Amino acid sequence: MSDRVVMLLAIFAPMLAGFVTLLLPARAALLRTAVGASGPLFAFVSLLGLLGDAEHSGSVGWGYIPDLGIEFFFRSDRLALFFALLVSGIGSLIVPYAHAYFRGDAAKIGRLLPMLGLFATAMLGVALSDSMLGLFVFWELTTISSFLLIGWERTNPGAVRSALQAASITGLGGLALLVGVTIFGVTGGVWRFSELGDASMPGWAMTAGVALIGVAAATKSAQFPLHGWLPGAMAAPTPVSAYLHSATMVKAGVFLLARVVVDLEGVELWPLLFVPLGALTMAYAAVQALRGATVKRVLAFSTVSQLGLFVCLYGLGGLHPSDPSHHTLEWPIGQILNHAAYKAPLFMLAGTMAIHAGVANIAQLRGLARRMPVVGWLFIVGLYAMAAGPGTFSFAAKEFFVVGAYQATEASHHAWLGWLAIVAVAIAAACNAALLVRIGRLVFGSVEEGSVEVKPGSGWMWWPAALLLLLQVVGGIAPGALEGALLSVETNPLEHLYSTFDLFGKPGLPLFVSLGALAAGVVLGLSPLLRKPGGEPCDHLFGSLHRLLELVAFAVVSTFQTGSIRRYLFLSIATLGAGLLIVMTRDERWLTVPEFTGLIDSHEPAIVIFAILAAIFVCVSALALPPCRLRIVRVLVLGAVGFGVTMLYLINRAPDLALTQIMFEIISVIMFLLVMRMLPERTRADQDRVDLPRAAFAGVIGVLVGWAVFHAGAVPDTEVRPTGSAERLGAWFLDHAHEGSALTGGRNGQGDNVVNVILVDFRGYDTMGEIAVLGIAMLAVLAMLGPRRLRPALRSEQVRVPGVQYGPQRTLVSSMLRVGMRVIVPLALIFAGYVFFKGHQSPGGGFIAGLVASVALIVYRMTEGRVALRSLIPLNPALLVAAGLAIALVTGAVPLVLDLIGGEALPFLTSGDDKLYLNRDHSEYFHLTSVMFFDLGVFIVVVGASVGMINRLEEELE
Amino acid sequence: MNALLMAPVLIPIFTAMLCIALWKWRYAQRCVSIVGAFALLGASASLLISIDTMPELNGVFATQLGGWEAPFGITFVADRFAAIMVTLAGLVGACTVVYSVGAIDKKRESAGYHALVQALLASVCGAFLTGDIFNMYVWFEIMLMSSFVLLTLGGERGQLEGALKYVALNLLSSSIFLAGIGLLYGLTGTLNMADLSVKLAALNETDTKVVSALSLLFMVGFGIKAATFPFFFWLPASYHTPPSVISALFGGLLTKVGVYALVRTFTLLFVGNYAFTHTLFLWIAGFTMLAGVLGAIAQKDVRRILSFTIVSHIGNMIMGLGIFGVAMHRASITTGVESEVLRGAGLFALAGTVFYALHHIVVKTNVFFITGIIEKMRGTTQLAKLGGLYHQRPFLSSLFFISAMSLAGIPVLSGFWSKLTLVRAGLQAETYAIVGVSLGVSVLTMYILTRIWAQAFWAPIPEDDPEQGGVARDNENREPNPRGFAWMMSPVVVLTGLTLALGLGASHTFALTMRAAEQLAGNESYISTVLGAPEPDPRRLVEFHDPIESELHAQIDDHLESGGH
Repeated sequence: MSDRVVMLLAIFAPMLAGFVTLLLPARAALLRTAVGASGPLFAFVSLLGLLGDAEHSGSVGWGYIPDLGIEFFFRSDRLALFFALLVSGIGSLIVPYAHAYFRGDAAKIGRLLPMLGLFATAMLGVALSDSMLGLFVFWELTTISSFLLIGWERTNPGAVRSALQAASITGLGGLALLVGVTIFGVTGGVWRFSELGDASMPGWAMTAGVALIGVAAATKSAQFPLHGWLPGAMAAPTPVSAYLHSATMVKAGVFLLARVVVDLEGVELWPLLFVPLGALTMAYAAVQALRGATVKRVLAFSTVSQLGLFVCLYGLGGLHPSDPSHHTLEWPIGQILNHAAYKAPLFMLAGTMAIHAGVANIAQLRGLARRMPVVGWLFIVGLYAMAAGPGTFSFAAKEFFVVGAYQATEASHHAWLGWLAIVAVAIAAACNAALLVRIGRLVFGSVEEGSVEVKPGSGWMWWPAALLLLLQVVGGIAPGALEGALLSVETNPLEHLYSTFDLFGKPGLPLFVSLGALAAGVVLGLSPLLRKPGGEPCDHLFGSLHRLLELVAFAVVSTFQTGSIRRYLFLSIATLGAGLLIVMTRDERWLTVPEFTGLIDSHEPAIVIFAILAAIFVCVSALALPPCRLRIVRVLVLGAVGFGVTMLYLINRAPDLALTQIMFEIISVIMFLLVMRMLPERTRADQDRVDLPRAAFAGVIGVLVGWAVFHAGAVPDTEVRPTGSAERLGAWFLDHAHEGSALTGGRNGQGDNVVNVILVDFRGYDTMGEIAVLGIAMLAVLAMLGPRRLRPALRSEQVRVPGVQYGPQRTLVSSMLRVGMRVIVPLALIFAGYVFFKGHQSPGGGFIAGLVASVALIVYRMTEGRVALRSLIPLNPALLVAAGLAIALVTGAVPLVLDLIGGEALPFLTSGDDKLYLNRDHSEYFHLTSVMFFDLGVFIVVVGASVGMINRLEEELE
Repeated sequence: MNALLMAPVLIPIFTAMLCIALWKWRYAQRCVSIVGAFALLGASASLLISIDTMPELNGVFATQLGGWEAPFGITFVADRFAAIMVTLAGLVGACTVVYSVGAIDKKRESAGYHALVQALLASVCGAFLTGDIFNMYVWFEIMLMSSFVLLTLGGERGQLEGALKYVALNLLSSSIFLAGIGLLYGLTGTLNMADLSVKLAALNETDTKVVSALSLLFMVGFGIKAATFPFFFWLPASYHTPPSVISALFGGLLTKVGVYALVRTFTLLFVGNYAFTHTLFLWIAGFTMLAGVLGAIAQKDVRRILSFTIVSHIGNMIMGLGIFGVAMHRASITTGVESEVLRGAGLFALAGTVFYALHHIVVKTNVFFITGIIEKMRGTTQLAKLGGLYHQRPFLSSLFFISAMSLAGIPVLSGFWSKLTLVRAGLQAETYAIVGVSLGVSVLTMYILTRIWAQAFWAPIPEDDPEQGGVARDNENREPNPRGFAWMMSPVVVLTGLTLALGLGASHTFALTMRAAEQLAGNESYISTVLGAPEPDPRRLVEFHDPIESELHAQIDDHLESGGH
C-alpha cells in the first residue's frame, strides 16, 4: 500500500469505527467499546509503520478542486507523525477509560463513540494534512465535534452556554485560518505547508497571513484573552476533557505554529507576536489556576498556562529557526510529550475521583490519600510533575525552555523577548509549585467526619494514568530508556537526553531560575496570598459580548424593521432617488436640457394640442387624488385618470387599446365599489391630512425620474445602433404584420391590425402569461373569500320601499335599467363576437372582445342576479378559465409536437393558417389562422376571470 | 430540444389548469400536482444535462417563440446558469408538493393551493428561462400574484398583515422594473436581452450617463425582489406568517429569482460601468449581510430567525456579483498576468454566486421543512417554548444539524464550498473589506444556528408555565400522524442527502458552476445563440485559466525536466 492510502485509512478509521458502533446492538456496550477503540488503535499501528521513513516523507495525496487550490495532500514527517500518534494513541486509551467512566452505561457510550471517532478523524486529518485548505477542513470538524461534546450535558444550561462559547470563538479562529491560508495561496501561489518556504509574496500579505494564522492558533490553543472557552469546556465529561481539551485538540494551534515556523524564516512579526502572547498567557493562567475552585478548572487553567509556554517556545523559535547555534527550538516535541504525560493522568484521576468519591471542588480533596490511597498518591505525583519537581521529565523540559530563552537574550537584537519568557516561566513555575503545596496539604490532611474509604472501581480508571506518570519518572531519572522512541519523532533532537542529575551538574542562570521559582512557589503555597477562590474577568467576556451583540441587533432591527409600510416604501423610494441623484451629479451633462426632435413635427397641430390637453387632464386628475377624502370619490378620480389615458391612445391611432382601456376602467371601478361595500365606514387613513414634507418628497422623486425619462428619450438612435444593426421593434412589427420581408422569408403576421398581431402572434407568449395572471387573480378572489356562504340574516332584514322594484337579491334596480339591459346585453354580446372575429384585420381581438362580453355579463349579473347568470353560463367560472388557458396552451403546443405526425417540430406558438373556402370556385373564403384559437383561449379566460371575480364579490354581499 | 426548453413552463401551467378544472376534487388535485411536479423535475433535469453535456449546443440553447427570429419575437433561452436554477426549481417543487401531503390543511388545499403552487413554479421557471426583458416582467407578475395568494391563503390575521407589506413593496418593485423596461425600450427599441446587450454596449461607447441611471432602476427593482439592503423589509415581515411549507417554497426559490435577475442583467446588460454599479453592489452586499444577521440575532422565533438569515445569505450572493464586476473593472485597467489573475477572480466570484444560490435553495428549503415538522409536533416555533427535540427525535435532529451546519458553511457540506469560492474570489480580487464582513457574518450565523440547536434541540422542554398557557403540557404527545409524518420526512431526507452530496462531490459541483460562470462572464455564446450570429471571435472569449497555477505547473515541469536527467 502506498503511503497516501495508509494515511487516508488511518485518518478515516476512527470515524468509520465510530459509525459502525451505531449498527451494533444497543445493549452490547462492551462490544461497542471494543469496536470504537479499534479505530484509533488501527490508526496508531498503521502510522507507526510510516515512522521509519519519516525523514524522506514527501507530500502525497489527491487533488480535488485544483482550480480553487483544494486538494488533499498528506505528509508523514516527524512532526505530523508524532502528533498523529499522540492523537491515535491517547484515543485508543481514552475509549476504554470512557467505558469505565460511564460504568458501562450503554446509552451514553453509544452516544459518545461516534462523536469521539469523528473527532479523532478530524484531529488526525489536522496532523497529517499538508494541504493548507485540507487542514482547514479538518480543523473545522474538530470545532464541531468539540461543540457537540462540550454540550454533552445538554440539559445543563451552563454546559450549553460553554458549548456555544467554544463554537463561536474557535469558529472565529477557523475563519481567520481560512483567510490566512487563502492569502498565502492567492498572493504566494502556495497551497501546501511543505511549499511555504518557496512562497514569494509581498510583505503585507506575509504579515497578514501570519497574523491570521496566529489568531487561529490563539483561539484553538486558548491564548489570552481568547482562552475563556477552555475552562468552560470542562463541562464536558472527563474523558472528553482529558482527550480534547488537554491532550490533543487544544494543541492543534501550537501544532499549526510548529508547522509554519521553520518555513517562514525571517518574518519579523513572528517572535514579536507570539512571545509576548505566550508569556502573558503562561503567567496569567498559572495565577488563575491557583485561584480555581474546582479540580477541573485548576487543570484547565494549568493547560492554558502550558499552552502559553508552547506558543512562547515557537515564538522564540521564530527568531532564528535554522541557526544551529541557537537552541530554543531544540526538543519541542519532548516538551509536548512531557505535558501529555502529566496532564492526561491528572484529568483521568480527576474523573476517577469525581465518579467514585464525588470530588469536584478543591476543598473536597481533604483526606483523599486515606480515602483513595492509589488515586490520591498518583494525583500528587502528577502535580509534582506539573510543578516540574526535580527528578521528573518535566524538570528537564522546563530547564531546556529556560536555557533556550536565555540564549535568545544573548543572540538576538530582541533580547527583551527572552527575558520576558524567563520571567513568565518563573511565575508559572512558582504558581504550579504553590498549587502542589496547597493540594498536597489537603490530600494528606485529616479525613473529615463521616467520609468512608472508597476504592477506585475498575483498574481502567487509574492504570493508564499510572503508566503515563511512570514515563515522567523514568524520563527524569533515566532518560536513556526513552531516547530511542523519542528521538525517532523529535524534529530537532538533542544529542542525547539529559536526566535531572546531568542538569544539576551544570549550574548557571537557568538552574538558578528553576530552583528559585520552586522555592518561591513553596513560600507562596504556604502564604495566605491568592487563596480566595474566584472567577476571572474573561469568564464574563463572552456573556458581555453576547449581550452587547443583542443590544446592537435590537437597535438595528428597531431602526429598520419598524412594521410600518410607509417607512419601508419611503426607504426604498428614497434609496432610488438618492441613487439617481448620485448618478446625475457625477455627470454634468445631466444638467443640460435634452433636445427633442420628432415629437411635434410628426403630428397635426390640432392633434398636438389635443394631446397636451389630455396630458394635462391626466396630470390634474392624478394630482386631485391625494386631497380627496371620500373613498368613492377617489375611485372615480382614479377612473378619470384612466379615461385620460384612453384619449392618449386615441390620439396615437389605437382605437382598440382605447376600447380596452375603457372596458377595463368600467370593470375595475365596479370591482372597487363592490369591495368598498365590504370595508368599514371610515379608516384612519381617510382622515390623514396631506402633509407637506411627504408631498415634497413625492415631488422630488417624480422630478428625478421624469428628468431621467426625458434624457433617455433624447438619446438619438444613431448612438444606440451599431451600423447595420436591426431596426426598432415597433417599426418591425408594423412592417411584418401583413407583409413579410426577406428577413423572415416572406412570413408575416397575416393581419392588418398590428395590435392584435402583436398580442396573439409576435408576442403571444406575453399574452399567455397575462391571461394566466388573470386566472390567478380570480383564484385569489375565490381563495381569499373562501367558500360561498349566504347570509340569511341580511336577507330577512330587507326593507322594502314602496314603488321601487327589487332585483332578486336585495339589489336596488330601476325597471328602466332592467328593460334596457335586456336589449343591450344581447347586442353587446353580438358586438363582442364581431370584435373577436374581425380582430385580426380591424380593431378588435380576443382580449377586447372578452372585456366587452364581460361588461355585458356583469351588468346582466347585477340586474338579473346570480341564478340568471348561472342559467346563461352553466359552467363554473374557474372551469372557464382553465378551459381558456388549455385552448391557448394546446394551440401553442401543436407546432412543438408536429414531428409526432411526421412534420418538422417548430417553436412553441408558431402560427399557421389556411383558407376556409365558402364556395366552389374559391372566390370567397374565410381566412382561418391558428392564432384564432389562441385568441379564443384569451377570450374565454378574460370572460371567465372577470365574470367569476365580480360574481363572487357580489355573492359575498348578498 | 424545443419542447424540452418549453417544458419547465408548460408542464406546471398545464398542471395548474388541471388543478383548477378539478377544483372540487381535492385528492385528484393532489395527485395531479405530484405527477406534474415530478414531470417538471424530470424535464428540467434533462434540460440541464443536455445543455451541459451536448457538445453541439455549446452550453446554450434558444428557441424563438412563434418562429419570429430574435430580436423581434420572444426568445426562450437556457444557458447553464438558467438550467441549473430551473432544475432547482423543479427539485424544490417536487419536494414541496410531496411535503404538502402531510403538511397542508384541508381548508387551504381546497382553496386552490395546488394550482397556485404550480403557477408559482411556472412563473419561476419562466423568469429563469426567458431571454426577453418584458417577458420576464410578465413572469414576475404571475409570480407576485400567485405568491401573494399563497401568502394569504387561509386568511389568518398575521398572514394578511405580512402579505400587505409583501405586496406593497413588491408592487413598487414591479413598477420600477416596468419603468426601467419602458426606458430601455425607448432608448434602444428592443426588448430582447441579447440584443439589448449589443445595443447598450454600443451606447456605452458614446454615452454612459443614461445607462447608469437606467441600471439603478433595475438594481432597485430587482433588489427589492431579492430582499437586499435597504429593501428587504417585506421578507422578514411576511415569511414567517404562512404555513411552513409555503415559507420553504418562498425561502428557497423566490428571492433567488431576484438574485437571478440581478446576475443576468448585470452580467449581460449593464456591464459598461462596472466601477460604479458593481462597487455599489459590494456596499449593498455588505449591509445586506449585516442587517440580515443582526436581525436574526434579535429574533426569538425559529422561523423569524431563518427568514432573517435568508436576507444575510442573499448578501453573500450579491457579494459574488459585486466582486465579479470590481475584478473585471480592475482587470480592464491592468495588463499581463495581473489582469489575468483578476479575471480569474471575477470568474470565481460568479461561480461562487451560482454555487451559493444552488446550495442555499436546497438547504434553506430543507430547514424550513424541518421547522414545519417541529411546528406540527409542538404547535409553536418560539425558541423559549421549544426544547428536548434531540431527545424526542434524534434522527430528525441530526438532519437539522447537518443542514444548519451547511448553512453556517462548515466543511464538506455544500455551504462551505460556496463560501470558500467567494472568499477565494474576494481575496484574489483584493476586495478585502467585503471578505472580512462576510466572514464576520459567517461567525454570527454559526452562533445563531448553534443557539437554535442549543435551545430547541438540547435544552429540556420548558416547565409548564402557567403564563405560557400550558403549551408545554401536551408537547411530548403531539405526534403528527405517522403517514403525514412520512410524507414530510421524505423530502427532508432527500434534501439533507443532497447538501451532503453536493458537498462531498464538490469538485463536480464546482466545475459545473465554473462552466456556468464562464458563460455568464463571456456572454458571447449566449448572444450568438440567441441572435443567430456567426460563431464569436475566439479571441474575445474569456477563457479561464489560473495564471498562478499554470506558472506553477510550468515551474514543476521545468524542475522535472532538469531533475529527470
